[in-house]
Amino acid sequence: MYTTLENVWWIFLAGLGTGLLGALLGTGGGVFLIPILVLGIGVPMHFAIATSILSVIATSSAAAVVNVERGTVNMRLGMSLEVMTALGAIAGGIVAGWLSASFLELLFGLVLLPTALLMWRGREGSGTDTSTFASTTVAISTSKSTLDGTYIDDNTQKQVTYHVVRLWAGMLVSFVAGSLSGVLGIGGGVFKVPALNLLCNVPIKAAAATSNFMIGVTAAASAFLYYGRGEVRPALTATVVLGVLAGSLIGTRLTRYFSGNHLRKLFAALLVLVAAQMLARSIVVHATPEAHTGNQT
Amino acid sequence: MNSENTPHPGHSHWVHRVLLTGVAASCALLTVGLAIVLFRNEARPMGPPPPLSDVFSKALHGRGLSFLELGLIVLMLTPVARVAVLVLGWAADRDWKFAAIAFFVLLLLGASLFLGVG
Repeated sequence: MYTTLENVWWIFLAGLGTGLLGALLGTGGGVFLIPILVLGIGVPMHFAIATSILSVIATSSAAAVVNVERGTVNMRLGMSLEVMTALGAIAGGIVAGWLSASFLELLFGLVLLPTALLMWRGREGSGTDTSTFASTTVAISTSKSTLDGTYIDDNTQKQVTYHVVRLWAGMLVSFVAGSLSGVLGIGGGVFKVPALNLLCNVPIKAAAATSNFMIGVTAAASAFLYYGRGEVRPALTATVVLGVLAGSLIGTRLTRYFSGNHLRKLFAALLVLVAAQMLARSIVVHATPEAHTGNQT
Repeated sequence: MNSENTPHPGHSHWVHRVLLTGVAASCALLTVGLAIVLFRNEARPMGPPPPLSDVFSKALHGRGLSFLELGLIVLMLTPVARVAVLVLGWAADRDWKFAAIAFFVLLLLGASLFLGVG
């Protein structure tokens, strides 16, 4: 049994820490949650992925509640890209059912390495939306599209208008991110946000909010597959989801007191260590039983 | 500024309400279910989840696991409901292109639901 009265607080704390880190570092948190569940609590990889997917739905929905009201989410762009993320997630969710736990751990370890690199580099201009976008908008405002967006920047109180370009690139990256989400249970925002920002000309705040908005649908697309296979363990998932939501709530309030830079680099380095441990476990010391019998919550 | 591209405030409002309701309802169900499951030491057998009719009937009898199943189902359906709201919102605005895109996403989610638990 993964969740008992004795360990429920540890699992809740794992979720809380993940949600807290996710909010402080601007990530979904799945990259931290899965190693904690697998390496720390001994949850089989498929169950850990399913738990992470459900927690991603929870955090994405909770964050979107705020971002949609603020107007930073570009719903038309998000919906257009969701076609690709949902397709990728369904494909990934089906494929994940065929893969062994050791292969999934190997893949997870490999995906953590570029994730750590992207986390180390951070999001340039994440504090405010730079004037680059404003001037870009003026320069190309003659070719408006229905995907263009506008919002009021919280920091500068100025209106930011942007023109979306290279939608195909965003769709391609979205499909890859959706597939990774379906196979590995991560949100994929760490890949989508830089792509939307650098390739599609979406300001970082709108890119982050739109990516987060999409992640809920992406995760839901594969969640049904995991749920149907019985890989979503109710009590474990409920404990993690409640912890993650509480952590996100606290983390959102703490962001103003923390400089994300040092924390981000520290955890990027930690991710490399976690990746090494996951890779080692998948190759050398993999001992997770594949067959699960009896009652487990 | 291209006012056509500003999100319709009504859509944002409805999306906000649907997400908030979904997250709040699932949190409430998960909290209640988890408390019952832990104190009564309930456990779900390995394998696929029980049919929805069983979940509802057992929830009426206060079974904690059924509350957990309902909380998880509500959570998974929350993004689906959000897409459905946007299909209706864009269709009401006669914004057929985005209504069709959102409807296609809804079909994909429906396909996943069918493949998973259908």
